[in-house]
Amino acid sequence: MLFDDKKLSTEDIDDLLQCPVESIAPFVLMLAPVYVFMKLNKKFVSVKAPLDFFLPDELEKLKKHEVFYVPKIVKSSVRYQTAARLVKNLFSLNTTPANLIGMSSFEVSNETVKIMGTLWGKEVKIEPFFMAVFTHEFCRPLNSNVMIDARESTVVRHDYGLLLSGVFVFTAIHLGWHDYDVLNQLRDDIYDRTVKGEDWNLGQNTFEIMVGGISQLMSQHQSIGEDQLLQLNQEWSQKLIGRLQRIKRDVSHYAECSPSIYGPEGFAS
Amino acid sequence: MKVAALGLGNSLDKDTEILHSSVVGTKSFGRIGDLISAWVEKNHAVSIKQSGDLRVLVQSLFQFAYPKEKPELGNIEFSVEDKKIFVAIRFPNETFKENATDFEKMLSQYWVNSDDCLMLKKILYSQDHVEVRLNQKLNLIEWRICRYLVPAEASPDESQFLALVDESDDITSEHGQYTEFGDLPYEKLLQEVYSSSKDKSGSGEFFQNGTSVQEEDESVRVKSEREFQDIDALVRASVNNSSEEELRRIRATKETVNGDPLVTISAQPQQVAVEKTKIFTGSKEDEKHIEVVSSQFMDQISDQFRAEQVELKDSLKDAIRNCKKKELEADKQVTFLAYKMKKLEALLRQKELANVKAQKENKVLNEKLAQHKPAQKDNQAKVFKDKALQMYTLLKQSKDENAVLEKELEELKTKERSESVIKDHGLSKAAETNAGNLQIEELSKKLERTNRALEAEKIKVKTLSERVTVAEKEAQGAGPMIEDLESKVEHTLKLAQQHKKETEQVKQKVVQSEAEKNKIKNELTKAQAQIQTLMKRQAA
Repeated sequence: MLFDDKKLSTEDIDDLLQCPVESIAPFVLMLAPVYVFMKLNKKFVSVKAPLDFFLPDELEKLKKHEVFYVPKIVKSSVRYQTAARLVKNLFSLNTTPANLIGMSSFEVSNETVKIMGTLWGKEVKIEPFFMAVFTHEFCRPLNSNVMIDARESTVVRHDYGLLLSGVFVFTAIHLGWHDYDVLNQLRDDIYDRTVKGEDWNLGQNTFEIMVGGISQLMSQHQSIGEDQLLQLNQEWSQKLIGRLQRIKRDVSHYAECSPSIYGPEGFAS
Repeated sequence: MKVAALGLGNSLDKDTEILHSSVVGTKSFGRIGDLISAWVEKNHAVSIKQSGDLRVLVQSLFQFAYPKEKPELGNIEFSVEDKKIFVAIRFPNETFKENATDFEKMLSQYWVNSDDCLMLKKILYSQDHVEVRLNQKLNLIEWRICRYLVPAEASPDESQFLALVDESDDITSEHGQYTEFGDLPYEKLLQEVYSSSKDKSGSGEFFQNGTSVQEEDESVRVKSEREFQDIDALVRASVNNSSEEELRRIRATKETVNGDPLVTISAQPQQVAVEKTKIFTGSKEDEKHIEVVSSQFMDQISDQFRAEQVELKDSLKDAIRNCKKKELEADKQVTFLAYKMKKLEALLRQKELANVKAQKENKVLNEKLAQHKPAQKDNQAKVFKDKALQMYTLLKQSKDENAVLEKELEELKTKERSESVIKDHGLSKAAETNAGNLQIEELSKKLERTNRALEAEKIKVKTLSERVTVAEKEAQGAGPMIEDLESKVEHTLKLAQQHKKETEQVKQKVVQSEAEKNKIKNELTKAQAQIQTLMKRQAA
């Protein structure tokens, strides 16, 4: 993912958080640019872009630095990850064989929106990056070989695949798609086909039409909200607006807006 | 607007509310039917029969439209407009796969001839309107039923079945009033449907923030003895009534089926016991009697069994619901604890890092101190030694000079004495006397000079000794600097110890939270065991 500051001076130390190198696992997506401190130059130099991942040997090489430095905005992703874990638990709880009666679809839907509604913030808008952060935590890990191939061949497609699949899963959950396996399968499918070059212009079924619509939204807007969805005029977008109306009522007392990777506190260019 | 477009949004008014939900599997469809009928009951004046029929219609339509081959992601929409109820269910098309040219005709034939539609046809009212919409490009099929809220208002001319085919490659909609079923106040709506399952609060039941805080072993206090007696009386009465009714029923069936003379059976249990003794006689009457009694017994047992089963089912449902709630709560707690633990671990790591840092600082300071202390001491000692040596040599020199001068003075004194002796002996020569006088004068001058030099040397020694004291004082002045360094080291050591203590505290907290987590896990296992025993009981 493209970002502004490839190098930072020592004065920027107050805007950075430390993260031990040993705590980073391979193939985990980075939520912000990652820097190391070069003692000779006295500068922080980026070693990974957002949505990129480390390979085991890369981590081994960088072990000598002991600590990675990441911008403070990375902390805004924590609530998306927490919500993802809660929703995942909710879904798995409803599908366990021991649970004979189970929750009905509308009960699950209500509980899900209660958890996820706050993520939209006061303005009821979210940037695709944070939807992707949610999905990365919610879904099973992507195939590492596919990820490596995608990164080596087309980094842009890798980023786009992650964002597109992330937004799809996030949206689908709002629309009542509560089958964990189906969602994982669709996410893998979107990522695979996107890195192979698919543009999603001609949808052949409900799922493909939805992905096409999301792709259109992402190319035109930095964040997704009611106004952007209104322009789409698709059935799923109208239904999502209906849900956003309820979320708007729920979060009316909220003062906090959803975070942004753009602007002074963000990192995106 | 496309004529055959999928979705109610393309057929209804923009302001009409459409309830919708995505559906996976058949699991919760009964409850969606309940919710729809409750919603209609609340918002539109319909009879109980109508709302009940609507519930059955929704469930039957879903069963009919659900693909038979594999579970698919479907969609259900529901709305009421112009006194008409609309139910639409959409799934990927699995039924009409062949390359037919006239799909509309094929769909109509399917509706008329196929056995799949029989069940649904039986449930439909005569005025109900059925529509099937097939989108060939997207391979989606939508079954839609339109029912009048008040059946008398239906027009007799309206066609009952309509098949529409569309080839659009999109599902567009400008409808702005979609409501997901999850966004409805379903707890309130379903309260009436499930109200019978909820127990009223007993006498003296305690509540906190709207929820009961009654322990299980406190239930005796809640239900008074009188209540128990009432319940017993009610149970006894119902059992007697049912058994009498049962006997009458058996009597009637025996009359009609066999045509035999009426078998008289007393409803009193004592008489039945008397009749039982006749079983061993082997007469026809007895055989009949055995049959009747055994059937009566079997019915009673089955009734009891059914009642128990219902009770068990209810209790099982309650237990499962409670367990699920507990499980959810526990899960939340586990997540929260895990989050807390992570936080604590991070804090611990930070503390450890700070500890290590403090230790490093301490080490560096110690090293500096160790380097600084001997060097300073050595330097000072060396300076003092040098100075002392210098002074010692000066003193020695002056002492030596002093000794030389004293020696010369002694020699001169002895010479003077010898000269006086010569004078006494009368050897006076004028030249010799003059010369001697000059020598004496020179010597006395020399003595004076040496005395002055000695005094100067003494002054020098004094100033040097003063300097030595000053230097000693300076050396003493260097003491506080070292003390300051030592205090700093002590402070850092204290800080390190404090960090250590804090780290230990955090570790203890982590251990506590882990114990709490284990406790919750145990509770969960207990709850699951409870469910299993209940299930076993039910199976038994």
